[in-house]
Amino acid sequence: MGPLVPLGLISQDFDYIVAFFLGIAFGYILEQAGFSTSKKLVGVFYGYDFVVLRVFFTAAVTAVIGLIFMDFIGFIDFSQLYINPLFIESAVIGGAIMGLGFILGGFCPGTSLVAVATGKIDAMVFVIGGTIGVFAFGELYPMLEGLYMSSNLGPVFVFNSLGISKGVFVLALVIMALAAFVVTDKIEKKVKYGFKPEHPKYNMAKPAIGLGLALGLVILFLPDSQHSDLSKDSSSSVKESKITYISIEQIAFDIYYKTGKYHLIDTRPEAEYNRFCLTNSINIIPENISKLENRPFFTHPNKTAVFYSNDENISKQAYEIALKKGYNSVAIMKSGLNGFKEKVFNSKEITTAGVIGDANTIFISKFRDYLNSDTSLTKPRTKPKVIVKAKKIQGGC
Amino acid sequence: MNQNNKFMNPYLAGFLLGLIVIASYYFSGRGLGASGAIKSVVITGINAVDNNGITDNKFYKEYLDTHDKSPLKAWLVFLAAGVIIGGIISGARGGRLQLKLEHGPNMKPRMRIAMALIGGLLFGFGAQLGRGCTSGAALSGMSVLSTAGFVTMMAIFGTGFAVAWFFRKFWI
Repeated sequence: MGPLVPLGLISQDFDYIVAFFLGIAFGYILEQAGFSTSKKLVGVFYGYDFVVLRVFFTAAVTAVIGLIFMDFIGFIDFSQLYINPLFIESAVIGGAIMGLGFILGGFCPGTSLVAVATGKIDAMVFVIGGTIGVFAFGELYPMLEGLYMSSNLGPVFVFNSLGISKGVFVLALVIMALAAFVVTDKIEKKVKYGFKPEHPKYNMAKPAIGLGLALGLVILFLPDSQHSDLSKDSSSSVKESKITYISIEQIAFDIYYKTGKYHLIDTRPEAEYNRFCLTNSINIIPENISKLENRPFFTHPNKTAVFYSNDENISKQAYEIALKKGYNSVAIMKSGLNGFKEKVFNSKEITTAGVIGDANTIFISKFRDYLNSDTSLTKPRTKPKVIVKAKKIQGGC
Repeated sequence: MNQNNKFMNPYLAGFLLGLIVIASYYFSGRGLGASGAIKSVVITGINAVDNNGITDNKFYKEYLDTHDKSPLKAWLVFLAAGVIIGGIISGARGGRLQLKLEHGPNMKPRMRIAMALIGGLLFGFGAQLGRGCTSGAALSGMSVLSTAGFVTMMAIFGTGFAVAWFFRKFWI
């Protein structure tokens, strides 16, 4: 089951080989689609060539459906995949700057490499400019740091941000893509400029539409592995596949960045809780879940109560009791405290030079340092939260 | 417009690209990217030349703390190397390997070079600020349904459409 490298099933060094061959395929296909020329690339902005939209949207929809399906059949563990975190201001402003760069330069980094490969001098200049741009960012970083690090919402999912289910979002995405394909096809035929754009000959309209809708419908009826609207039928016992799990990384993120998404509920006996517990967790044993004084922890509008215990046993009991009580915003920490300690403190990956994309491993080692820096972080809080200086890290590519 | 069989059906290309993204996540737990490769090379290059300048710059330092000092040992650099090779192979098959400077019909070559440089600079800068470019943040991000992916994608293309008209003489 994937992802192979994060789960330790293939080595870091082999990962580089994988990257190389993925790159060859990536570059080959981009060039085959005509992405090695700025003329075809900017066509989307002027209406004479929508190849960018067609390729991009199709790729995104294919990947989304493929990954969800693989997660569904257990071929990939979606919770182990790198989800890029959202820093709102820098994403929007950075994106805007890139948009301008696209119009002026006629390339984006990936396509510029493909174009360089085919001998385009304007692409080579673009890459040189890109190098200078990275350097400029680095040198100006002290001034930019505030903007760069502001409003970190963490690795949020778009359907959650929109408040709809994953299935509905994917279906909407597929429908929008298909509509876009039809509309842009018409525009392209009407738009005329003083030159002839190069287009491949094909007719894929009908099969594409059919396939797209069919798959979209499949997604709509696929059960999510991490949904928050649990079955209201709380009298049935909770089956393994219906449990909402929160991964250790997600919890670590929430603790480190103080995004306040979770109420961490330690379901173990008090003595164990006092010895070692998760930051800002509360101790509620299963018998006390239905007590009135604990109600606020399970009915907070924006927070999910996450049960944990050493393995998953007691937390599963707690989970079932909570569901029976009608508390729906509940979940269990995957792998329990044993898994947490294993991953955070005993992980062997610390000393290997991390690959950029292995942001989880890098983050976990920062998280470990954070926990080690202050023992009160793993002890019960006795007073209102102790304010700890937050250390910030970057993410992504 | 010219309709010929030089280029691949874009939907087929998109489908195959989607499979590559899936493979990337399946093997490496991450998506594709490009701007990060440039970042790796720049930072490791600066580090090789001037050790002292680096250590008090948090941006460079954070990268060097978490990655190998050699630019060769970076996932995206390997990917980028592959991209170039893949591009060459495809270009060779399509007879598109040719040293040339492309520019719009109303654009002078020297102006094109200047704009390519500036455009590249903006993209390089913007990709750092935005934590990724169209391949990394947008394509890969959208593939895992991350909000950041969609936001970045919309910012890039939205802005592109917004300013396209002003620079139309560059391209049409």
